[in-house]
Amino acid sequence: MIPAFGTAYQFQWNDLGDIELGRPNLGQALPVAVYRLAQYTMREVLAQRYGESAASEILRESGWIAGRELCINTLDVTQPFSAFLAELQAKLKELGIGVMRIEQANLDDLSFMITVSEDLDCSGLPVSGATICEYDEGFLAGILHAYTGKSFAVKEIDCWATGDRTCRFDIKPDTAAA
Amino acid sequence: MNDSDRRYLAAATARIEQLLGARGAGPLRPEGLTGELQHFAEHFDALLETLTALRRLSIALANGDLAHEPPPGAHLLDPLKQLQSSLLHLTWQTQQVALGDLGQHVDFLGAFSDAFNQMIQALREKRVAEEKIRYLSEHDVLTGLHNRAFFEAELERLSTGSAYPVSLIIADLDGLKRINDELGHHVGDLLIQKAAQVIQSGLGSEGVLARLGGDEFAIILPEADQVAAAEIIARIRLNEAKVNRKDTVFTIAVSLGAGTAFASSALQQALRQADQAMYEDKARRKGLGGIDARR
Repeated sequence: MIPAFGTAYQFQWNDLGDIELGRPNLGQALPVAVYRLAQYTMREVLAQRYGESAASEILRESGWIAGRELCINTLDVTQPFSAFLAELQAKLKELGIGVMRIEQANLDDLSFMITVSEDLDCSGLPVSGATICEYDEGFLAGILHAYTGKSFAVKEIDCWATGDRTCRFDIKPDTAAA
Repeated sequence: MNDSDRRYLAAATARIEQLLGARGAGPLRPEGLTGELQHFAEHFDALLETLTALRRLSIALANGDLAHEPPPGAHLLDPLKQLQSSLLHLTWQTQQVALGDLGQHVDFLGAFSDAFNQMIQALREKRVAEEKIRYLSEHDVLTGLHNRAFFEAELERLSTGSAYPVSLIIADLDGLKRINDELGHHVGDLLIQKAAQVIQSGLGSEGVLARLGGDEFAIILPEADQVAAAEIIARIRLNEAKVNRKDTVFTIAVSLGAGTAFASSALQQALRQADQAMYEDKARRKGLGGIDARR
């Protein structure tokens, strides 16, 4: 997926501000609950105003921008794919986003099956029976777009919210967008 | 309890025995049981289906079939799915190691993690040792330049290449024997190192500089004609003069000569030409009083 607006968005990495300057005492870290409080209340309002489907799509597109910006600003996109995946794994762990593992990676057709354990968005949530990590889907698609310049269809097939203990994402080139 | 109930309970008991005997046991899907037993039977079938899926996944994993896809929503399978996921990731990691990525680290498979990580560490150490051996086989220990073996391998490589014209420069450090005799080999070694620096600085990032042995150096300049070779010699001369102006006590003098090959068949001829030109340079400079009795 690529949002309809593509890369023509206003957000810039600098918009995150100088956190060290702004939080000399409280610093960079905050409890996961606070992140989820923002994430899920925003989801609630989006769903109330625009409906569940539109809310999911908005979160997916937000995640796409976040993934793309994180990749461009913190990862080396010039290295070979395997090295890039290794750096991505390390970065997601370092930032506390999750523990990413690769179950399958076909570099010929750019299809992947990856898992994310201890996921920032969903691990520990009540089981609702439905996957909930649309933001992560967009996030991964955004990262891969920044690295390859291609559109990816990322589908979460297992989620903590469906009763699984790890999120599993099926990633394929987005033929619909091509 | 009616006959259907009794038949169902017998069949259900048989199913349990099948499971305990490590055999497959599919759902019974009974109909027409009395009240709560029908409700129980539906749940028992769900359990049988899950246990069947669990058995299939267990057998697949035991046989090393990591591609087996368990049905969704059967959470009794979660620990095995986690194991399957770990083994799939481990497979991918091992493939990366086979491709040369020794940055892989395992931290999710207990004692196996330690063994895997020890293996990676041993491979890292082996790689470092191999790189050191390769470096030593291609470099001169005293100067850090490439050595004769590398120079000859490069010439061999160029003989099958197409980077022509190729120019070769031979450089010979003057007065080394006298320095060794009068001041000792450790001072001679310093002179060789200084000469190597002067030549390398003059050469810059172009070409390949090697110490052939003793006081002799050689430069390979792919895609360089006589004019380009003369420019390099001029740069080395300039650098030599600059260094000698700074240090008037421990001066160096290098004789230089170049040869150019326009085809691979002329490489050895170009090498002889460079050697001859170097000797002519040495004789000429000696005649001019620029250098002492040398060699």
